[in-house]
Formats: sequence, C-alpha cells, structure tokens
Amino acid sequence: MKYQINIEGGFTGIPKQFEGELKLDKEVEKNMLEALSVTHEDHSHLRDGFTYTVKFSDGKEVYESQFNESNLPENLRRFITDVQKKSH
Amino acid sequence: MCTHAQCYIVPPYLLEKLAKHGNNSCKRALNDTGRIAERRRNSLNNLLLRKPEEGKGERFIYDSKNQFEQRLELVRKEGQEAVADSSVNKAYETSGFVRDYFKDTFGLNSIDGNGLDIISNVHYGEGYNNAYWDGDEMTYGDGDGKEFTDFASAIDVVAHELTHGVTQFLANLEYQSQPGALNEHFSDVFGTIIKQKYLKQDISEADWLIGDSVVTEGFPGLAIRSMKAPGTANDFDTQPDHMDNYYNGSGDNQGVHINSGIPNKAFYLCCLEIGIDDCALIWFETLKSLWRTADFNDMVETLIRTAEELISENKVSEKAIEAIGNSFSQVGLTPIVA
Ligand SMILES: [Zn+2]
Ligand SMILES: [Zn+2]
Repeated sequence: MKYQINIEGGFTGIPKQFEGELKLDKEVEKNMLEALSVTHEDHSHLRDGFTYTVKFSDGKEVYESQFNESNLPENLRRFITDVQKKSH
Repeated sequence: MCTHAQCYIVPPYLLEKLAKHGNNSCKRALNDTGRIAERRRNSLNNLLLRKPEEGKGERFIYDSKNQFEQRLELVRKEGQEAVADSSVNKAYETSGFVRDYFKDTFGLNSIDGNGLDIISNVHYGEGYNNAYWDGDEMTYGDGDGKEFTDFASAIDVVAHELTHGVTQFLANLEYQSQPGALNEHFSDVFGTIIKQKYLKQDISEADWLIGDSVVTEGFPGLAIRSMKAPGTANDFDTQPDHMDNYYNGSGDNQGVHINSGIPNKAFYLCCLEIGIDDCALIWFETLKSLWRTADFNDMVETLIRTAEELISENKVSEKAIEAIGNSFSQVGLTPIVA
C-alpha cells in the first residue's frame, strides 16, 4: 500500500510531506482504511492545530481524508508518528 | 442605534454588518448571541457543571507523558512548589506571567475576562513539533530534538497560545483567510510584547522574532517568524510583508500563518513611531471591538477609531492615528479616510 501524508498549519506553519510504501498486515490495513472513511466532527476552536491529509492507494483505489488534532484516529496518529520518526 | 433587547432578535449576519459600522452595542450583542447559544448547548449537556461565579484564573499543569492525551496527570497547580521537571515549571511560570500581564495592563481577569482556569498540557505526544489552543486549554509538544525543542518553555509561544484564548472570547475571529490571519496576528503581537516585558527589553534591543528559542541549531533559520522582517526567519518562511505578495492559496486555512506577516510588519513599524505600550493598548482595545469576520481593512478602520477614542481620553500619543496610517500604508493597506 502506498501512502502520502501532508501535515500543514500548526504553530510553525511549515508544511511537511511524507510519502512511501509499506506492507501491512491485512487486518491492520483494513482498520486504517476504515479510519479514513469515518466522518468526523470539526473542533471549531482549534488554533495552531495541525491539519493532516492522509492518502492511501492499493493500486486499485485511492482513499483520502483530512483530519485535525481533535479527530485524528488513534491508529492513524500512531502510523504518522512512526513515519515521521523513520524519516529522521 | 440598536438597544440590547432589540439585538437579540436581529439575525447574526445583520449584527455583523452593524458591528462593521462601529455599533459597539451590536457588536456585543453579536458576541452574546453566539455565546448564549453556546452556553445553552453547554448547560443542556452539562447542567451540573455550570459555574456562574467568577473564577480565579488558576494554573493547572498536566503531563501528557509523551502520549497524545490531554489532562493525563496533574503535576502542578496554582500555589504549589516547583517540581523536578523544568518544562512543567516553565509552563507554570510563563503562563502566570502572561495572565498577570493581561490583568495588570488591561484589567482582564484571565483568558475569558471571567477568571477561567489556565490549563496547560506539556510533553504531549512523541517528537511533537507543535503547540496549540483547542478552545479551553493549551497543549505543548517536546519537539523532535532535530529541528525543534520544548514548546512549553518559550515565553512567546506560551503568550501566543494563551492569546488565542483571549481572542476567542473577545472577538472570536474565525480561523480562515483574513480574519484567521488577524487571529494569528494578535497572537504574535501579544507574543512579542509579552516576550519583551519578560526579558525586560525595550523595542530597540528586541529581536522581534517569534519562536527563536524553540528552534535547534539544526533548523535552517533563526526562528519561526519575524515581525520586523516577515519572510526572513527561516528557509521555509513565506510570510509576505506587503499586500503585493498576499498569499491566495488554500493551504494553512488560506494562509492564516502566512498573511499575518502583513499586519505583523505594520505593528512593528507602528511601535517604532509611538512605542510598544501605546500600541499594546490600541491593539487590545481594537480586539475588543472586532468581530468574527473582520478583514484587514476592518482592522485598520477599527484601529484608527480606537486610537481616536484613546487620544481623546489622553491615554495614548496624539501621533497614534498618523502612526497607524503610515505603518499600514507601508504594507499596502492605506486607510480610507471617511
Ligand atoms: Zn497561532
Ligand atoms: Zn480541550
């Protein structure tokens, strides 16, 4: 599965982009794609929170969704944190 | 004119229009309408938690223990002794300094003017390069150590975030496009003012940088933003310092952290003319008169109207109106003289 993560906004206002490919356990992959499809509420008073645009593609379909600090699902948060750590 | 009672039945868009034309009671009613609706929602949701009496603006510092969770463990509250963790003590000390600045300078009782408790979360997440305000509390990451370091330890970052709270309660500027850039602007304005007070600097000694102490040696730049020279703080800094270079893209909520460079530069120029304390008072009183959808031109108009009032009360320099006009003209926002 290919991924593309765009992080923008935040106190620094410096956008970051991460791209790559990863092999995931079928169940984990399914959960991640599900997390992308859930509709979420906006936290209107968030200031300086990051905006996360997460895109996955499995060769056939492209899944994309946008989140903020208050509605980023736990498994995507973990995934993004790992990707950022690896990029160092 | 519009009396208080009448205002409640005027639709919000009309109140916005009236507020735009300087009717302060309408502007208040506009804020009230939103607040009343919100209060009604809150009290329905949480009938028992409503506390009508004024709070004491007490500090509460929580440790997120590198998890992405707020209010995980309370580690220091108002009046308690320092703890071993220096991030906790810094957040405690700086948030107190910011609270006291607003109280002593403008008589504002904490973030909401009603003694709201000041809640900070430190060590949020893992290598988290950010600090944010979420409507009722502040949250700080440690930084990844590669480009950024502890956000909770920087006076200008803490003042910036806490001011987002003040702005929410005074003007509730929406967080996109020009009103959003003004929201960011006010946070940088009080971020820089309070940093100068904290460091006991005068404007000639100050560096006018925002976030210089949260960037590491490995970061390609001196700071996150510069009010004196927007666009020069680091290699990624795309802030314009003039309307000619206004950012029209959709990123960053239509450039809230980008276009704030334009009023930021004007603020810096204005401080050179009439000093930072007069500017602080004019900007604070202006914030009280702004409304949710106010844009850059509304800001300039309101600054001038506010300065006129303050001059007539002998509270700021007589040169203030001219100084505001000059400063904003230099960034491409020439005031329209009525
Ligand atoms: Zn901000
Ligand atoms: Zn919160």
